[in-house]
Amino acid sequence: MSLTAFLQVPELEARYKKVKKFFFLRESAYDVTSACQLRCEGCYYFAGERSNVRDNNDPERWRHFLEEEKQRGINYVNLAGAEPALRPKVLRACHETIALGTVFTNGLKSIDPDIKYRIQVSVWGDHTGDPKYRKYASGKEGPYCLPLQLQNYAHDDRVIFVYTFNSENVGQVDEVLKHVDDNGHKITFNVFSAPEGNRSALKLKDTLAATREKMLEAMEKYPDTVIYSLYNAEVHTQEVSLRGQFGCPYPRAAREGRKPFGISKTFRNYRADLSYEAESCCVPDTDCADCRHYAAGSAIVTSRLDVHTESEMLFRGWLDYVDTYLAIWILGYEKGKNLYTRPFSAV
Amino acid sequence: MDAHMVWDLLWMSLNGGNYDIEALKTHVRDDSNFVEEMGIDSLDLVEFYLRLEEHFNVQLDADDYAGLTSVQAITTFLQEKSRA
Repeated sequence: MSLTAFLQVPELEARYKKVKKFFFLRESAYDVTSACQLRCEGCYYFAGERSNVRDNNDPERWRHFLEEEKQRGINYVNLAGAEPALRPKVLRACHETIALGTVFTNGLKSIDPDIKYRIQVSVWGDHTGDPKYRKYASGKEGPYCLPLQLQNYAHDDRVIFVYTFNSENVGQVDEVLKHVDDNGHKITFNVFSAPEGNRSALKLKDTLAATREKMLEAMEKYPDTVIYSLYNAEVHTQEVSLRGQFGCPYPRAAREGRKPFGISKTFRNYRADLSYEAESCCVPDTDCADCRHYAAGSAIVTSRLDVHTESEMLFRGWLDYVDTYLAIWILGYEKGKNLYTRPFSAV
Repeated sequence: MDAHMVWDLLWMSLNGGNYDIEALKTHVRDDSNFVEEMGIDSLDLVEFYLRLEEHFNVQLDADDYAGLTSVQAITTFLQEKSRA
């Protein structure tokens, strides 16, 4: 079987045509500031040396910088570390320069409603876990973020919540799902992926299968609220990391001798001072052997169309994955029904 | 090796994407770089490489992609494959 044969199947052809319209996306990632109210366990920003830079808070400098990024072909910005919502003028300059993007935020401060970026709000657990895993910068136990997030972003369709599963919080998602659903929001899933050298107890080892089961349960119980697919659940809960399953297209993988192609040639991860390293990755400092991160998967899995044409079922999985990725990243994109049905292989 | 067939497969792969194919056809050459001169996105190129594999019955490795940057490069590659 082959791609052209799969495209003879009407539902596969229709889905492929739908996602193909977005193949033009060319992303890079930008730390907006080194400031954040919280210190979350395993936070990529504070794990390495990235916080040791001087912020560039000048909106005009950002505007000029992103004009240069546009010249480089970048048409989608990922505005991350440490807490972008703390720099509203920079966010505005970004939005006025490159219209497509996502802001990754803890949701404790609302972002101006006319900044029409996707807003991905992170959730780490229920009322017991969230304050434990996300401490204040002072070291004190943090707030339960979810009620504040729901209040700040009530009826805001830019928002999607992102629940990060770790080794302790599988059952805690029930409370979060109920609140998100009650408030008419959407939610998707991430899997804790430790930074290099991190020995966090939150790393998933024995809980991968339980995490997957909980993901499936959530999808079944809240089909209109949970933006996810069976194939996402499968690939993100394997013993083997995403890189182990699919290789990695990020520039950082060049250290393994992979020839640059696609995102390898264009992706950069900028620090808050607008410098970047040649070996960029979407979640820098991640231990590649432990990488099950949803943002990493958005490039790692989607870029491997070639390995997903070995069977029709794998191609269905790829279509679901790309459809899910677009629903998470593109404001207004509507996810279709999942096409992948293969029973799960053992983790 | 017929470059026309390679071009046909390329246009087929770009169909449905964000391209003005008719405009591209007016100024491309066999040595036009797919990315730098034609602005083709990587997933569209992967589709194109899959179509090439199928049509010419060749096996492409993901590491081959980086070198297949123009129709000319592809026809040369395919000629070498057929001789091997």
